[in-house]
Amino acid sequence: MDINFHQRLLDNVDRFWDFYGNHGDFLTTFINRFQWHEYSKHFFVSDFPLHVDIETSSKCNMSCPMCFRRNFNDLGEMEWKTFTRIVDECEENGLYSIRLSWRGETMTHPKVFDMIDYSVKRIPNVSFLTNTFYITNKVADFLIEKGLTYLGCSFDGIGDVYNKVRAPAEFEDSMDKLRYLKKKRDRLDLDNPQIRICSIWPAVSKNPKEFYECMKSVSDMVVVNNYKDFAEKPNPVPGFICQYPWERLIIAHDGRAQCCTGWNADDITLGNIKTYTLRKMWHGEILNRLRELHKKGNRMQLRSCSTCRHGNTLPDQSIDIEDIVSRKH
Amino acid sequence: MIKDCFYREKEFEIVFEWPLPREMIKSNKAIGSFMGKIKSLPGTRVIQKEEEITGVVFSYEGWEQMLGVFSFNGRKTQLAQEFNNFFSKVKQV
Repeated sequence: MDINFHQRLLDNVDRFWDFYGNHGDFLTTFINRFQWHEYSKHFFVSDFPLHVDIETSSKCNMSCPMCFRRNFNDLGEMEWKTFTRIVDECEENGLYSIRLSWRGETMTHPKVFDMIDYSVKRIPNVSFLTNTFYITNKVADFLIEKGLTYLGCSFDGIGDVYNKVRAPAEFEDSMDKLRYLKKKRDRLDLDNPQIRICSIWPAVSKNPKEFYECMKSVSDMVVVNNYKDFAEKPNPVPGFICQYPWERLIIAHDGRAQCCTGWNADDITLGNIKTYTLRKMWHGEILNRLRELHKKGNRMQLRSCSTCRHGNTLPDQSIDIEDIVSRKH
Repeated sequence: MIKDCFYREKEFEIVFEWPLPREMIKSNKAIGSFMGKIKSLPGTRVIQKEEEITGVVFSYEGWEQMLGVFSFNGRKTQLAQEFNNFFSKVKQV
């Protein structure tokens, strides 16, 4: 089983270690990452999920050309009561990390500030993904004050490439937002939030060094994701076994739970947090059956897993970013 | 962070995904504190190649003591039991 193969480091090892070293207590981070890596590889089911993703909002203010959202209409925001129920159970079970994101832009939730505040008081490692659009100076001040562990910023390319992919965001404006966040944090001599920049590879492939040199000053770590073509017919890799059923639970905005980040895995729903606990779903019949199917190399029996992009041959990564952008219209 | 892991009868070896520059032990407080703690554990040693640390070898006893020095929201006992079960499983392979 290949673990965490989805993302590649576009940075130096000093910054890599600093990024994780500045998550807080490194001993806890190290043990948690050991669990992620080794439990999955050995098909060992932990007492409680090792990580929980909470979809505060599935709405997004952008319409990026490479995103699966072109075929997505499950829009909604998580209710406060549902949110606190999840975080409370995570706290009771000593969970180390949660992420307040899944398919949407976290910052579009009207109660996002309360959600961040509630989370950081209860869970040691809290992060979320953002397209940076809403990270104004006021938001940056709030994230620094609350000590959010890290922010994963989707930032595809620089200059005109960024403007085309990430419209309506503008490159210089987004850079200013990140610059303010990092400068303010550093001026206060604080470590958090750490800032991780992530781009799809085709947006930087022509000059990855230029991208890195540009983003280095406004971030703590730079990574790249492979490009996935959600419009193409899937081409499954035989024998692929996914790490997620042994690693995490994902809760959608309406409370539905699944064990992976696949955006349309509705045939492997484990239940709803409004009626089940996370613990019950983690040890439940549906997830145990799914684990067995993966373990025995029979994932193709599940529609979601057979079409999931994680278990598929990647499209040509040398595709020109202009070709991806042109599909938008 | 972790590239691979090898389990032996009395100890196991964790290979880091990226080598840890020795300088980081001085420059990053959290990593320095971590390395300080694990060096004091029984049977634990670092694997070093020139100025980089490429991994750590833990004795099972050392790992158990390591779990004892952090709280994990008061779920120390459950976590220690979970690791016992995990190590029992992987050592049988």
